[in-house]
Amino acid sequence: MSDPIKRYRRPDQQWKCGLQDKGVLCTAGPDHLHRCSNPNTDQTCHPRRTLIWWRRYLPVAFAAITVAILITTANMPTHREIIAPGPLTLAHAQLISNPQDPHRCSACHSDDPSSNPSPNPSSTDVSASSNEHSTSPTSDQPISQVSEAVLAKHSQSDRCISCHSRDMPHLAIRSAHDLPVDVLDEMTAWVKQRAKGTPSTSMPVVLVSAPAAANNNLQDQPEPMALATGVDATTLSQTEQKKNGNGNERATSSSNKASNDLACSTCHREHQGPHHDLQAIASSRCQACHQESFKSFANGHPQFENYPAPKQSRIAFGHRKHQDSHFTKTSTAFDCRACHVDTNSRSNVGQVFRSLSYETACAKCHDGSIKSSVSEGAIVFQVPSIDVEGLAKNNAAISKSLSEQWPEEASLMLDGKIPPLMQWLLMGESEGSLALSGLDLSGDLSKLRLDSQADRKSLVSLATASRMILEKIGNSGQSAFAQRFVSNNGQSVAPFDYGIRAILRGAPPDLFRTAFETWFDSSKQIGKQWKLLKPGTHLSDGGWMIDKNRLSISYVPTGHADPWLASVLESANDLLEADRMRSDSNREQNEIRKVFIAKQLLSAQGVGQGIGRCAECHQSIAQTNSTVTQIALQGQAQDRWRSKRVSTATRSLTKFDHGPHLIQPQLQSCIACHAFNGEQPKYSIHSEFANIKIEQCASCHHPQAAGDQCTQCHNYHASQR
Amino acid sequence: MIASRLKTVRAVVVTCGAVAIMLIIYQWIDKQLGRTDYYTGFTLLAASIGLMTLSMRKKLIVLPLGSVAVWQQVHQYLGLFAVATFMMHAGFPVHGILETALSVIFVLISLSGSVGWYINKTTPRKLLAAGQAVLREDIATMRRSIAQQAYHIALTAAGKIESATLADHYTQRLSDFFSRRRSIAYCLVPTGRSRRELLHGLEKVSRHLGPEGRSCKQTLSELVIAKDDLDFQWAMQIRLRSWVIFHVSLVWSFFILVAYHIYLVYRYKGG
Repeated sequence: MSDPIKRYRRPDQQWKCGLQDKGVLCTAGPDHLHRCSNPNTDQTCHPRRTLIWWRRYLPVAFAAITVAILITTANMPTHREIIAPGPLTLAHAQLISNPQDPHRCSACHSDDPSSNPSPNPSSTDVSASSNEHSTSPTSDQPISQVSEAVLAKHSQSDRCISCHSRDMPHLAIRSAHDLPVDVLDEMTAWVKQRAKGTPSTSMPVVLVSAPAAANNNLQDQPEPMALATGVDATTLSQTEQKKNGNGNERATSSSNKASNDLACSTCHREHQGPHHDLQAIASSRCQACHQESFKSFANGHPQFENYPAPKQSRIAFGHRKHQDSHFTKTSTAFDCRACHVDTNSRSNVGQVFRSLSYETACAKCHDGSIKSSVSEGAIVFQVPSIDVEGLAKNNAAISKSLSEQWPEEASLMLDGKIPPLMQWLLMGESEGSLALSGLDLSGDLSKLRLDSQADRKSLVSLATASRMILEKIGNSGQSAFAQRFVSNNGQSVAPFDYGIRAILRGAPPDLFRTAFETWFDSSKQIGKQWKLLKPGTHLSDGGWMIDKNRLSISYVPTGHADPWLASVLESANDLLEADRMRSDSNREQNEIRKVFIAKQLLSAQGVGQGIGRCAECHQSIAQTNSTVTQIALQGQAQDRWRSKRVSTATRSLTKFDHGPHLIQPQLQSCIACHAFNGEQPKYSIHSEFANIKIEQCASCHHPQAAGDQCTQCHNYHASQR
Repeated sequence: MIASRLKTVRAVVVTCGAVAIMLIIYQWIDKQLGRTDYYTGFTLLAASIGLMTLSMRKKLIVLPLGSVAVWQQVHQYLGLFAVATFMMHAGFPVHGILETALSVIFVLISLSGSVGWYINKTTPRKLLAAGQAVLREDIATMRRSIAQQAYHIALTAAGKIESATLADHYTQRLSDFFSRRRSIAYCLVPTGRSRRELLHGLEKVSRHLGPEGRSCKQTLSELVIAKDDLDFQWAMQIRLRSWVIFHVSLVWSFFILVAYHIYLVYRYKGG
């Protein structure tokens, strides 16, 4: 304090003399209240702040302003917009469109972090899950409409799953590729074996049932799914049993916990802007879990096995045979695109389909032969040719009226066979069944002997039943006839009932009445003047007719995909399948005949008389006791006729789009990739094409050309609706 | 000089090595499907806290914690490391209002730090080149003294016919220069333009002056140079002290926003 000027030179003073900047030397300086303390000064002095003051208090001011701004914004309606780490992607933003919605954040985030359950809700107790089910958000319920209390119980990933499970029902498993941990272990073991060069089996395409979704209280039980990945179905089944059994497999399997706790945000990062690609992921991250890591697609990626995997189809088709035989005969170019490319629709692999419609792909060549094969029509009813006079001579108890009214054209001798469809109709009558019991399975009348009393009895029953069929349908209609196939307790006797109904479907009862009056009521004098007409020319566009020439009621199919013919064949197929499912081998004669007739109908010769030749291509409808029939029976009855199409909702582990590939000049010929392997397919599940080699793809798929990211060809989430 | 450069090279190599290790770990975590943002975020937080220790060290002068110069150097290179970590953490572009504010403050702190680095490195040399170092607190007194001298010279010149022009020139051009402080722009970027203009003006006036007038003009020219040197010293010293205030002030806001950011991250973390 001895040198006041020196004191002012000290840098720790927060206030200085107000005249200092004017060069005035002050001997006192400001006092502790920052006032001028120099009584001798003759100038007005206002002490001023030094840089030290600013250094001390400016940061405090900045901090105070920052806190004030945060507190202010916390009470603003747009608070959530301010704290959001970035805009949502368009897909998510439009779901939560109102920026001032108080539940905007809680649609995806829990408001109370401490209330978050375990990362995986399916690891919780099943009973608890089921109890919570009623209060859980479902895939049908918009997340914004779910109460806060319910949402607070679920983690962020659960909330993702609650919306996305509709498209990916196995998300709830929350493990790699949405596969159960046991399945992953199985696959890992297989890959390890392959790495050692000792794979026990090739990775098969199997049907997989999704188990774990049952444990998730956010999910409904999903449909069975198919995966294009190889795992043993038995293993999957065991997994399912384990999960259903204790409902807590994941919790008890600590070794698998890590791979079963994958949060959606591990890969999908939100709040990166409206146009951010949520599915984008670096290929290096894909290899985090995979046993076989490799440098790039061209360098180290495992060779394709059985790719593209032959898919089960219901249509028998041989490419090689068509190219070498049929197309060569007609001098037609064998152009793959003509049958496989449809620019108006889209499949899982682009605008390329395994098969297009019959009209597009097949009609040009096959329409003629199909029309020709159906021109004679299918005989539904035919007056049996019976030697009525011979019967009477042999004292058969044939009624006089029947004897007199039996058509003259059908009274000469025992001849012909009972058509299969008529045999089915006869089996619907007790008298008819009696008649058929004396005939062999083919219904050959010529094998009957008039000197045999049993045969004579059968013939009389046949005549009576035949007349009765016409009369009953003619007078009482189809329902009266079909009523016979309803049991005492009102239950339908399916599938035979279904078969009879299929035959009578569309058959006009009036036609039966007219036929009855024509053949059995001479007083009406109907049809005496009718010309003899050929079914093919009389009914060029198909329909029902009384065939005077053959004394029959026939149906002429309209051509390919005739609904009546399809219905009859489906009923035959059902009957065969029902018979196959029977565990006992004891069958009555009638049942044996039904099966025999069904097989006759489904044979390559068609409905008894080579009608339609349906089974030549539609083998799935014709075969039984095989995988083929299992394929055929999937879906609706009419689906059995169609080539099985892979649903666009299917997400296998691999994906492919023909579109960008077909643009390449060197790939415009399909054979560039799909070369024949020299084998003729026995059936559609056997491929006649050689496997595609990885080198074929790698020539373009490298970083400098078409890219070689994993996600270009692989789906992470694999499922099928 | 060589030893100093070696130190610099060593520090740069260590910083680059730390960034490289950081990158390797980042990529490893990324490949393991880990949370790289947590890794870079907490590394950045640790680096920021490390950067804060310099000001603490400056306050703890009694403790034997090494020289401030070493701490200063560590602070500078740790700052570079923090910038690299920030780029990995925030990426580009930065989304979100809060995140953008946080990033802007970080960038401002980094820029002010870089400016401070430059100022710290160049100011002593410039001050030395501008003459004897003067204490900032004495500059105002010295400036006043120079202004008074200039005024007396102008007054003397006004009393003589041969140098009246010099007095007019002082009134019109030099009076303000001697009596006022320089502008903020001069503080930020001190230049010799005014000095050159004023000296050139005095030269132009000299042809109208007699021998005594020329002598006064010469003295005025020397006073212009002395005043400009003092202004330069003042500007450099003000700049040297002011950037630190700006740098430190932003740090407080930065840490408050960082704390809020971390709270929000855990508040809305996925799972």
